[in-house]
Amino acid sequence: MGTRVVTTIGRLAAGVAIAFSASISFAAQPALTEQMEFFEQRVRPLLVEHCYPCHAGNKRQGGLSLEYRSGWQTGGDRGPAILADRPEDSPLLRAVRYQDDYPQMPPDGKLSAEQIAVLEQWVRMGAPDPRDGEAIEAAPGPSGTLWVLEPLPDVTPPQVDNAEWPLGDIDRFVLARLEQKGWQPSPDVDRGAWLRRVTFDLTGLPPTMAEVDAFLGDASEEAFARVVDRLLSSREYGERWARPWLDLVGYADQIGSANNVPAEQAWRYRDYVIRALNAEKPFDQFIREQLAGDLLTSSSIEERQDQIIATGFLVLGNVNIVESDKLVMRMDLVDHQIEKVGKAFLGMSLQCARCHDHKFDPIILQDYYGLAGIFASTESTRKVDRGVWSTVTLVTLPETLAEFTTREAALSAHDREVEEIRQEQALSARRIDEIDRLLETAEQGISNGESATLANASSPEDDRSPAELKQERADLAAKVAACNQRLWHKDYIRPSAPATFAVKEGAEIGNSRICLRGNPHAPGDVVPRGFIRAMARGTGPKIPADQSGRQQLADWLTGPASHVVSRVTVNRLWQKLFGRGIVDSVDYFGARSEPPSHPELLDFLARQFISQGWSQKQLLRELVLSRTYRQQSTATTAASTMLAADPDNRLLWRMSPRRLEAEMIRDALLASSGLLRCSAGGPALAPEFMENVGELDPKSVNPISFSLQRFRDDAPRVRTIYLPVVRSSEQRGPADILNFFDFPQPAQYTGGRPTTAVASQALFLINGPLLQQAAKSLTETLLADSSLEDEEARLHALYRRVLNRPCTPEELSNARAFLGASAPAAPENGSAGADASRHDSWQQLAHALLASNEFLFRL
Amino acid sequence: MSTKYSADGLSSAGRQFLERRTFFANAAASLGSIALTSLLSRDDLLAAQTPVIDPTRPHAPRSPHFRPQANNVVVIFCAGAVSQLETWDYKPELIKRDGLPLAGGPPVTFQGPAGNLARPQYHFRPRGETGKMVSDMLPHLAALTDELAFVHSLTSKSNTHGPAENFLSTGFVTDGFPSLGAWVNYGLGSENQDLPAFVAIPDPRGVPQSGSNNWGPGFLPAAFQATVLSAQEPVRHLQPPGISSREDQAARTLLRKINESHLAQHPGDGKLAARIASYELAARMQLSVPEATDLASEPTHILKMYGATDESNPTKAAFARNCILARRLIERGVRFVQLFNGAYASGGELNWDGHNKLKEQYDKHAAILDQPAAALIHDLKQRGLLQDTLVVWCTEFGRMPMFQKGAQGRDHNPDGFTCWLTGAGIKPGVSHGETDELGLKAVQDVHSLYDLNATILHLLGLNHEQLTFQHNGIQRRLTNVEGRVIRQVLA
Repeated sequence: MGTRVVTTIGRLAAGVAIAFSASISFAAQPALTEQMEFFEQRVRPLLVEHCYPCHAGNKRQGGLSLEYRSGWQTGGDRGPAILADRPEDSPLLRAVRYQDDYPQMPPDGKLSAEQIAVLEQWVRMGAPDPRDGEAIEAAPGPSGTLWVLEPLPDVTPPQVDNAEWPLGDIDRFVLARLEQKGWQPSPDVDRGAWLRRVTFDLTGLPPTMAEVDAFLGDASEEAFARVVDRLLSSREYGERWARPWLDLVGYADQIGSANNVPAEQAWRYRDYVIRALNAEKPFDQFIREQLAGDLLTSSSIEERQDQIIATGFLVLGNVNIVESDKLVMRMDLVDHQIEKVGKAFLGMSLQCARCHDHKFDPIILQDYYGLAGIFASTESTRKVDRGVWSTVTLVTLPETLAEFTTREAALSAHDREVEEIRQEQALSARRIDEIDRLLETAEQGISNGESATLANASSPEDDRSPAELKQERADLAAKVAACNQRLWHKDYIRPSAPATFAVKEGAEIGNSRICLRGNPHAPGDVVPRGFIRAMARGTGPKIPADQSGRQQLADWLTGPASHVVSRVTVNRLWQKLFGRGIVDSVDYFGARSEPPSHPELLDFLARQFISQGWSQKQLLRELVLSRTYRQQSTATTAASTMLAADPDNRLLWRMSPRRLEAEMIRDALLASSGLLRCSAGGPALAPEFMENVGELDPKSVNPISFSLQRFRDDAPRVRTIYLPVVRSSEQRGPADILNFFDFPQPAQYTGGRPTTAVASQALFLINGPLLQQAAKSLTETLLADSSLEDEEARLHALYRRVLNRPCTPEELSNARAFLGASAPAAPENGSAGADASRHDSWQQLAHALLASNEFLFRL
Repeated sequence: MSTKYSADGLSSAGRQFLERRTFFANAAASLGSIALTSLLSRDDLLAAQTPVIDPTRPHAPRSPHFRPQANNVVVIFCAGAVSQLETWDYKPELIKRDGLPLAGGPPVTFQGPAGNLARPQYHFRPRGETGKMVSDMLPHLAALTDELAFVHSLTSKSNTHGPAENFLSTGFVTDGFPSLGAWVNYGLGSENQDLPAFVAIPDPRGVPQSGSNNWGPGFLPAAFQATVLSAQEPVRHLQPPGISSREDQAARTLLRKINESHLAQHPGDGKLAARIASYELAARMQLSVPEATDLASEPTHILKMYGATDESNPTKAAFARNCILARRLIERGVRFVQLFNGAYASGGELNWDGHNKLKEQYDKHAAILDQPAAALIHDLKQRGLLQDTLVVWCTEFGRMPMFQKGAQGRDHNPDGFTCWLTGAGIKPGVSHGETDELGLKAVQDVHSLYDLNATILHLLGLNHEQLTFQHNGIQRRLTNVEGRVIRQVLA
């Protein structure tokens, strides 16, 4: 309650304060005219209360300040706010009258008639206004002081006291900060735990028993690097690191969230990202392909395919295709594209500037519409014939000879199946005609007074009654209709030339107009296409009149703005390894972000990232081979000061323990229990099963829809990244785990994930079928393994498979006690009942380990 | 909530702002500092207004901004867009002009060409002491007219079901924003730590068009999303499949031991402790949720009052059981219950989307909604729960006064429709705002759905401008940059 009161009083007081100081300067003037009195008593309080919140100080919504006379004289986006020659047409009056299509001001409620009359009277008087002065500069200009805008300095790693500890430059930066505080880094983690840590971090999977044995058997220092090189060159590396990128893209196998419209080609983009990571595609090239791949030159069909597929980046997010106002729909998509580029590459929230200059960051309305022109000149969606629907643009891909040959073979098989359905349908249709003739004859017979059977009709072998025949006819008609559905379905999945969701240059290329208050139906001035002025020195590449500017945007990001892009990129990778970014808000580096914990280290790494050819693998290699990364996560008693002073571990005095991400939990459960199968990628939605596809009728007003009635047989066993992601409901089937462990809603574009610990996770782990299956499979494997000679060996094997370490003597005795207590009469080779009981006990033990914190955490 | 602000309570951005603005304090002495407080709070820079969340107890009760009128909320969400013209918004002029074309009206609406004006498909009559004209479509609810506060002049930003449901539930047309219930849960937590703070009860026929967006957390921590359950579908994974409770207990004890010894090796780790706490809550929920959702203890006369025993209409009986469940949850201190009536787009078969055969379909839907929803309000009242519980009846938009060309139903109309509120903090018998004489557009005291959401938060003691969450540098709120409390419906 108190808050509200204070707010109201405060607002009045602000008015008083300003009025008071202004009237002092007034007293010096010789005469205070009646008009000035009118301004002071009636107009100024009104402006202060209703207009200043958005049009004074550093706030100039729509470019307009009303704090000084000069403010309304110069005016904002719509020119001067008060027109001396045509007072009635003054934008100020039209706005407060909520007149025609003008922005309605104040936006949170119309002024009273009396207040409007005051303003009208004032304007008619000629707007007498004693307020001399200039409005202060709104947002920081191109020379803003935001640290991330500064060029990357050439940083030298600092000197440290403890010269023994650092393995490389990263460690010198980290240790120097700790030594400033008088702190020491934590001891190295044991080698087994390091292997588990680095294997999860680089591949999203636990190490196998053989990998553990090999590493522990090789005591050399080079063993670390050998492990890292092995992991970085595995296919699993791309499968793990693609997912954070897909989080930023808002990837899903569904377009928009209305009517379950399938994004049946989205998987090509997912597989492209995995390929790009595994092939160590330089990150600057990765950016160029995603923004403008279609405009680049290529030297092979495969490269051309990838370039086109990569532009899916711009259209695989939260795209609405069912808005009937196509202008609004298009601008909303442009807004999403700007938001995504801002977040993914620049660590900035650009979308604020759709309606007004950014309040805190150096992003102005003109920057936004400069970018908007680029994306508005790009084709991302097109209208289709079904109702009000549009679809994301599909671009046909060039085909390699091998692909063409495979497709031709598939096509002839397909055509044969289609022909079979056609024949089946024709057969049914012919039989219907026959029955119709029989029924006609029978009816004639009945009307002639003959018997109601057909025995004596034209078909002597058919002695069924007309009712029976009618039933058969109905069944046949249903069959014909079903054949239609099957044929439509076949047509939908016909092996055709590969196509992908992508963008192309628009039919109309040009600059965008400012949308006043973000509304595309209220166009303002034209803004030339361009980039964020404050982000880079110089103007950046010129955009030719006949090009959208996507290619130039990519060149700008990887050239003049590369100091921002590399900082943002390096920080995100750092975050995935160390738990938090050097800049904590990984998607936002603006004025309201917390300062970086190790600014020099970030600059050092960002500069090195560029000089080493934008290589993600190279950077990750250096990070995981650092001493910093090798610290143990356990806070020892010696570390209690640091734990108390820096519980969030901002200064990296230890490794931060982390709960595994949703995909890692499932993948690790499958791996530990021996269920995991590798996948080559490919379509996620299984459209080949007809029950998964709806609205097949080409005459439907709605587009084809999908459901996830049936998954492919291998779906429960492939890595989670290959499972379909839906927008309109919870994740389904084998992907159920994503609903519980902080998988981001695909409507968001996000570089970080929260980690929550909520009861629904506990219930999932205790009672969900996934853990049951994993525990069952693991138990069966262990109990069937004849190489494990006794219970102790079996228990060690269990711990090694689940926790990647043998069990301690204490754990051994606890586990034995549990097995003994829950299956008291279970000898090693007992009766069937005793076997079942023993199996149950083992399964529960395995289940408990799989649900344990130690399994769920990467320490 | 304390109004004492110090620089310590400020974010770093707030502190910078403070430094830039010290001239204010110098210029106007003590008045200036109050003004400064005001400026800061308007900029949402005061950390004091942002709920502080303890990760081990995310649902712990938190103080509102000011004294609330309501402690709990039931939102009855009618998916598919209920026609205002068949229910609460009486338009005698439309009866007069039945069958005539609407001169100057839109030639094409959402789904296709517009036909002629069509009279309300139900008879209207005066109700109760207010004498307000309400139709016969929902007779049980109509009998409560005197208790309700109607807003007849609502508008939506979208005329498409999915986006419009998003707008009603999250204040944004696009996906990805936190739902009203999640905001309330974030702001206030819950009085009952053994049950979820926010429960969404889907209709027995299915989930609404934009599905979990209606109860999702958006960018708020996942803990604030709804738990989905209904009288038909229990909480997921609540019970162990096919093992005895003795075995379950033994395995659980083992798991606790394993986790505790692990924690002992990693002292002072909040994340590990939080996970152990989540297991404990799960164990409590395994006891408290079945108790809360078990309708077997409800006496026959209560079941009958709701229509839960109506064997001739299984969907109605199922919805009635959901209504009873809603009451039981409110009784046990659940903060926010979102009760759905109507499922996804289905040509009007499974929800209120009456494009083609409006009367025929509404007869069916009305029979499902009416008695159970009215019984819920009555039951809450007779138990004294309505004093602390706000009940909101809402729908994502309204329908056109014309029938669609060649059809017996109405197209989407986001420009003027009705919702109502009753219970805690509401002035009964109010009718606020008006549409034009045909019910095409709101013309008097027009309110966007932002205002409805601002009003709901206000009744819970939350200032919609101050309940914020910092997301990527933007101070987000349920009402974006809009929203006015509809004071005319407040007691």
